[in-house]
Amino acid sequence: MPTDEASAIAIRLDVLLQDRGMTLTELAGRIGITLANLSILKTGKARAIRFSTLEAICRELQCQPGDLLQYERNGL
Amino acid sequence: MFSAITISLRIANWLNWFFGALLMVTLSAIVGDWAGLGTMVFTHIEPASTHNAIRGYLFAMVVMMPPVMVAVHWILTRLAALVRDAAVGHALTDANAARLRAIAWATLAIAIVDLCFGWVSVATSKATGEYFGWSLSLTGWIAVPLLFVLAHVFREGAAMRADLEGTV
Repeated sequence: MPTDEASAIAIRLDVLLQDRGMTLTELAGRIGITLANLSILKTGKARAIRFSTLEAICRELQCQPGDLLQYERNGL
Repeated sequence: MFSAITISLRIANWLNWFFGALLMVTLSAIVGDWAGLGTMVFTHIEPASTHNAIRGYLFAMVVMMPPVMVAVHWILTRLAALVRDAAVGHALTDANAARLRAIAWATLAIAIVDLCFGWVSVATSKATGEYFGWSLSLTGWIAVPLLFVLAHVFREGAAMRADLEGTV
């Protein structure tokens, strides 16, 4: 059953965007995902991520999935 | 189509209260002999030795009607809410799972009252020698577990929907 507890998986999308000088809106346009959905992902409110979304983000940001996702023990 | 169903359910609920209350008042008037109505009715029933048993039967009906009317109200109002949610594509929610559970409990209540009514009917039939129609209906007893299972399915569906909506 899903819980409301904070996920231990952190999304480092903001860091990657900052490093590449790209805005969230620009990335959303490039990968064909709505800004609202991408914002959900960025703020860590998403419950799951599709492989197709992960692939598109990695393609556009020239990164690996491990650069985007990070496991933080005890949510720290 | 959905709006027609919702309107039908509302009308059915209104009829439930109206005719339920009408029947209760009528039976109460006969049992309580309001304005000599009971005397008028029972003068046509022979033999007189059966009158007390028949009065008891009618009184039992008066007592059993309110819980059935409330249960029917619960079923129809929750069903209307379910249909309303289904019409806008939001059927799989925790609220609807709770509504189905409420419908299941209400159906169980009606089935139990029906059993009690059956017991009263059989007892009155024995006492009077006349057949007071009642037969065991399995529909309600089958519907109850079905509704509880359906409520569980809705709860699972709501969780899956939440997961799907949270998938980017």
